[in-house]
Amino acid sequence: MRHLTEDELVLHRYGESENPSETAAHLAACGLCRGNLDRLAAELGLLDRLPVPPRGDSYGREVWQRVRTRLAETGPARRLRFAARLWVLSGAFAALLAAAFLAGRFWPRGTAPAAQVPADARERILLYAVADHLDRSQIALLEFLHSDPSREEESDRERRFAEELVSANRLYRQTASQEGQSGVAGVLESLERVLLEIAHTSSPDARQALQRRIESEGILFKLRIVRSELGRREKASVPPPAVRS
Amino acid sequence: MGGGATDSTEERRAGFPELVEQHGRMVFRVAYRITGNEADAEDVVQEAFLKAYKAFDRFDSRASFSTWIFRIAANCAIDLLRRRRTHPERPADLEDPEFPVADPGAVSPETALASSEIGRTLEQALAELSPQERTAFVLRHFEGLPTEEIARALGVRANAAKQTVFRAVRKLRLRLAPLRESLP
Repeated sequence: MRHLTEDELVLHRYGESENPSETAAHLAACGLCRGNLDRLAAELGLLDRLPVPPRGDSYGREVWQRVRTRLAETGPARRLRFAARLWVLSGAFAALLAAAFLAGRFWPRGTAPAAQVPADARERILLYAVADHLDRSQIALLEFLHSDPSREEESDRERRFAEELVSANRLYRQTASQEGQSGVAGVLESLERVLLEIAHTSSPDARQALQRRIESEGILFKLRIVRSELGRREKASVPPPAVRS
Repeated sequence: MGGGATDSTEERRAGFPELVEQHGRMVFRVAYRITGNEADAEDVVQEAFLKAYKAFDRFDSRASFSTWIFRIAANCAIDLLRRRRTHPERPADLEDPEFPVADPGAVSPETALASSEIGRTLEQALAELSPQERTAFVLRHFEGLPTEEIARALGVRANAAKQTVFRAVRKLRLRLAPLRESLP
């Protein structure tokens, strides 16, 4: 008689057994495996004793207030709020404005040079804008990885979104290069190649192959790491927030 | 028309506060289980809803918002745990001598447990998992998500998600088996 492995017991415990009836029959007949299952359940069950700090009925409202405040008060983003609104209207055009602003080219030459915006402020704005762009790109990649390549409507939507992101990405990459942020520019360059492929790959087979390649190269993972690093630099570059209540 | 699409996005966003109200506590619970730290969990909740708001035009209204926000929150939590490991800027609650109860006058049996050595061992067992393992385990064990959903949340294939849960269980059992034997 072949006994159940620990992995099979785990699957059974969580209701995902590959052969539920066979597993149940074996457990009914085998005291050893039943004992193993009981031990597994008891050990993992210990974790259920860990409490979660309670949150009241108004918690969701409080969270929304905080999110709303952050949307309105994101320090360096204030300057980008106008561009962000335009982004909603037309992503690439707004990104062009933001990138031009970052590069100090927002005003006509000679009237308000880039020097009016200190270098550290420009870096903060760039960090914030790129971080926001990476958030959107992460979501786009996640959705692409889990989409069904045979569903045309879904693929069309993803291609359009990738195209929008490519335009914005290119502008941020160029701005990052001009600002001497070679690390950020390098990441954006890699991201641009992936986004371009998503935007221009239409056959289901090719999209599936691309999904596999993105996974095997760990592109999403690398993006997360860079995004985390940007978040850390963002935090380090602004004054500490008020004490948490 | 572009304007129409924007109006539609704005109209949809008008319903966003209600979604935050409905799902806030659930997202906090998941975030706390993954981070093991109340303040970190609050950061994750805020970050997740902020990202969700920004990307709301990408949310397919026919899909489940809870699944979508789960996915975003899990990723925020993973990012935060990785950041913590690389750049520890806030001591974990485990290292706090008052862990985890601030008000010693209001001690329920659960909080008493958490304050005890057993609570510490349980927390430590979870803390020793990698961010990916901890997230996969929390979504599986505490939230009851099926493997497919966990895979979506982690951005990996279903088999990889399954293996991550197996690995987490093996590591946890190594820590928890002696504890179970010592309990009455």
